[in-house]
Amino acid sequence: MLFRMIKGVLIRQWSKMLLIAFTIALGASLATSMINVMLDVGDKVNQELKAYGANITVRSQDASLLADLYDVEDGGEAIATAYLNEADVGKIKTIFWTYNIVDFAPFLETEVTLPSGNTAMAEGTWFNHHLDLPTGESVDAGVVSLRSWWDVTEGAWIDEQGGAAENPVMVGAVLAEREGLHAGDALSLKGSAGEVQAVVAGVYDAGGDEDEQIYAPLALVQTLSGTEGKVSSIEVSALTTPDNDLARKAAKNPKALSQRDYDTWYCTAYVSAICYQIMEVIPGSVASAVRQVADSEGTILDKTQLLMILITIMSLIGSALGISNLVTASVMERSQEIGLLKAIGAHDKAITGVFMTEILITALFGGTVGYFMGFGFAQLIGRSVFGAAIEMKPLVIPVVAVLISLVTIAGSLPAIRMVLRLDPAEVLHGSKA
Amino acid sequence: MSLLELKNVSKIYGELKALDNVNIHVDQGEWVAIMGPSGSGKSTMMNIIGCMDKPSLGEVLLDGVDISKESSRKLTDIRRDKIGLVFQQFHMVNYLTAVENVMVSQYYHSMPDEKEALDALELVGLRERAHHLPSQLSGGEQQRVCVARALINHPELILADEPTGNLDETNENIVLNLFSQLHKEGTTLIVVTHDPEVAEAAQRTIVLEHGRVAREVVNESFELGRKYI
Amino acid sequence: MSRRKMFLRMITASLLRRRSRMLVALLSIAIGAAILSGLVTIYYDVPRQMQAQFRSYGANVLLVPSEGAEMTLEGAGKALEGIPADQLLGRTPYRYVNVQMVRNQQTFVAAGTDFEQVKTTSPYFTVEGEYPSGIRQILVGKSVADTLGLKVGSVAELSYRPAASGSETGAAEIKPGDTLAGSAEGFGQGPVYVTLTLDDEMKIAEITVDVSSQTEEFGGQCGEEFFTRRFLGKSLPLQEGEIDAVSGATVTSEALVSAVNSARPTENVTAVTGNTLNLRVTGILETGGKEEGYIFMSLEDLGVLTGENGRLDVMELSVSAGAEELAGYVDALNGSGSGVAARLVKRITNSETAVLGKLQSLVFLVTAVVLLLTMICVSTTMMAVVTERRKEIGLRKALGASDGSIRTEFLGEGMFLGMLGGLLGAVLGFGFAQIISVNVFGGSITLQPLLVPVTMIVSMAISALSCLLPIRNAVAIDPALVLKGE
Repeated sequence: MLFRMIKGVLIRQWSKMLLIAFTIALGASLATSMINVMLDVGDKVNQELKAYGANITVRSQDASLLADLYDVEDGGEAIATAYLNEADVGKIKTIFWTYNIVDFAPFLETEVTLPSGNTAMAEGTWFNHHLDLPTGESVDAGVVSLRSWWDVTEGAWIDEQGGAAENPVMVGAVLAEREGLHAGDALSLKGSAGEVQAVVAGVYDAGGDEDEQIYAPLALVQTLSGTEGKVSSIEVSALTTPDNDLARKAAKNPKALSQRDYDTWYCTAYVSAICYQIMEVIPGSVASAVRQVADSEGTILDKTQLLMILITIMSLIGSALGISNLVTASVMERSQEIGLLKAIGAHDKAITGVFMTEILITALFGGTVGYFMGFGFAQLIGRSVFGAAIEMKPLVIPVVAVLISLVTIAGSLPAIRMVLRLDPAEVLHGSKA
Repeated sequence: MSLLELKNVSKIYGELKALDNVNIHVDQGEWVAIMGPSGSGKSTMMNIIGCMDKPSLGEVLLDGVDISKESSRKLTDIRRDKIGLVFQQFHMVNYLTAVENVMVSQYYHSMPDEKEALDALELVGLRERAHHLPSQLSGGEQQRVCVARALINHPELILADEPTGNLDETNENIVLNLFSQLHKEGTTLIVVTHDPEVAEAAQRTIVLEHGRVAREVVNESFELGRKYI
Repeated sequence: MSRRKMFLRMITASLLRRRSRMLVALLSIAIGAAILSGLVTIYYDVPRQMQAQFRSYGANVLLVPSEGAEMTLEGAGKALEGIPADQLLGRTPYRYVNVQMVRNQQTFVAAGTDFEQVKTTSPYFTVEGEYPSGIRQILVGKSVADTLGLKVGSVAELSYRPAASGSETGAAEIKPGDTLAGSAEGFGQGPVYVTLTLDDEMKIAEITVDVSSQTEEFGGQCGEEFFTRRFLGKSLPLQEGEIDAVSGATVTSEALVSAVNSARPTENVTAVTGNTLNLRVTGILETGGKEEGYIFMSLEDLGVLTGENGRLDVMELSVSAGAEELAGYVDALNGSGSGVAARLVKRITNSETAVLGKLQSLVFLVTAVVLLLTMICVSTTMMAVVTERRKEIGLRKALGASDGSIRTEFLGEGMFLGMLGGLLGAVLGFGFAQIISVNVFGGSITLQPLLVPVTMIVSMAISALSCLLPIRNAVAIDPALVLKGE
């Protein structure tokens, strides 16, 4: 009989139940989309923040930063050994957090003499270098994406994968103006160990020191400086988790951690953990976080996530109130029916059971539809804002389900109780409620 | 002079003939009861007379105007101006007080006038209950408010549908007394009922059966008995 | 009593006596309105607040002396008057000079700055220990500290000698009998100094050299008489190979040769000797960048060390402004003719524009979706509330109410609820935006006064619209059916 009554309501009063189902669907879709976006916003914004460039630099253990400081380019014995092997660069893509490595590029700098007699720094690097990894995968890495803020004002980026002229170089805007260089010009470069006839492939405006430099393919600079197979530093752009106390403690000395803390740290994408793992795979290297990028990323990620969490909570509260409101209204509307059931001898428990079952069935229906609507909304946001799909975490399904059930029960139970407290005669009389 | 005249009125729902070629007339100032068992067409006739429904065939002349062809908009106007309705379930706006419920009727008709509304309540003996909400009134009191509401705009016709159906005997008497009083003042009354006692209070009883007028009975005892004073 | 008064009386009665139902509707509208006004406020405020967060990436504008001009604190301050104080979050002056560590004569870059400002333009500086807060205190970069074994609390003795190139002050004519002074960069950038006197035949008669910046056991040998003797009797300029280098000190030897060749009459040479200071390390700086090789001190200490005053090499600015506004400020600074030139730090500004744009469109879309859903929620609740009153609508119709007057009454009620809920929601929404702002950004939000009426109008429109459909359905219904059936 219970089943028949419920069926009766669901089928014959479908328009009323549809309204409730619709509202619940909206609430569920809101919850689904917001929670999913909230959970994924960190990754997405992290990707966007990669525009700020590398957050990790890798150098030779011996080089430390002194070469940078003294501008000692060549000659000194201490500097001669301060290189990393180009062959090791690809190993970065073999660490535990390999999928978090968004981009990387090796650098090797040398001083060159231009035809005018002036000298300039030439930076050898990868542009869009194709790399086949020992794991069988292949990646394209280089400065084209690592220097996303550069404007190529003349010519184009060097394309390492074909089509480029022989010995292409890119010249900084300031240097190009001073030397009267334009895209397509031939340029003879003289280094400490050789001379190369290069062609200006493009002129870039970086808005910084790089504007007075020359960027050239790594091999070209290696020829100029006589350091075949060597690189002086590697810049790595990695997706990282904002630092917490554990990460700070680990950054000082990972060995000092307890085994459990160490495992946690190692298996979390903290910048210090990634640095540590890079040092493990590249012999003789020191990887350090570029604080300007790494810390700021942390700040902005934290803020964005907090913002999304609060907006999500707010909209969840909103939709929860909306749903329970409507459910309350719909129960109160049926006070006569409840009075009648009571009058013909139904126990409070039985009536509550019938009503709750009806509403929960409606909620189940609405919630299912809502989940898929929410899926759509989340993808809409992901596609139009980040140009990428939002990952739908399966965890969200039970969360939304529990949330919706709680809200529905919270909305209907007090209302049912309230109506039950009323005198059936009075309710049927039609004047009350 | 006849106020209401139904000429060959039929109401057909698909196969079913709710009213089948009915002819009746009600004179000005007359008190008529319409009786019949369930399904005899009472409600349909009540709806047609109350301008809430239109016949499938035939003419309905109210105050000389054929309302069977009017638009529903026009029907609303006619109902508002000429008819006062009293229902079995009272139907009061439950968040308005007694006097406000009466005033709602004035509001739709012309001008709300609280004094006049209070006078009407005085007439039904509820002056001191004027500011109570429906939930604070008994069934009989509510029905009396409805009667006050029905007569507030001085309608030419008061149409009551089972006005005593939900009332005990005491309250039934009070309501019938009110009707009797209105009748004496010259108001035309049509009372739809299945209760012979209520019907007997009227001057004339029209008995419906299967959508047809089965018989008309003139209540001999009306002038003599004067049961309800 | 007028009809209008009765109309109001009915509406207020409906609102007041049907308290619980009306509260349900009011609450629902208020929630909708709160979300509307809150999210819209946040949407407008996010760029401003986020911009401030993005300033944690550090300076986005650099101020450098324009060609041929010198920049001072006052000069830069004057040039910056055009930027509102609340947008100019930080302005850090920097003066860079080479200094020597007395202990081992290694050369480092010392940066004179203002530490209070450093905290604003370089919030990512990670300092072990503390920033210097008094005189004779320094902050050393991590690699400097590692190289020298400096710890927080150590004392470092620094000396300053004018830059090797500092002696090029005009090409005064050299006459017989003149005393000349010159300098050049020796090994490891340390300067070497020479003072020499010419005889009547323009040959070197006397020479003294200062090689104290060089490593003692190698370059230091060049200070000894056995070497300086080699210069005597030679005429200027010295040819390549004319002076035999000290073995193991080639660089220093060659440096002395070029110092002699660059020597100028002493009246045209400014300071020849520098200053020495003992400074306490209060903190060690970690940035992962080139700053780790610098020694930071206050501009005052640097002034004492170098003897020069007020000159700045660069001023880092952190300006909280959108891309266009920022470009405007830069143009204004460059066109002001105040002796400074402004440069955008492209990496920071471009990336900020890109990321901020994404963030704003994220909040926009989220706002749009949340709003859409909330408004539908409000509508369904309002629909439920009106639908519930079908019977009453039927009764009113039976009493002679025209469709129009029923519509007016219910719409009036709905709009009144909308207005009230909108007002309540605007207040709640502001509170909600304020909570988010304080929690996320640690700053309060500015109230958009226009938002209050807009919220109210939108709520009124939505509640009116959502009443309309159920009212239309209700008035279309035959009053008889409503009254009879049930």
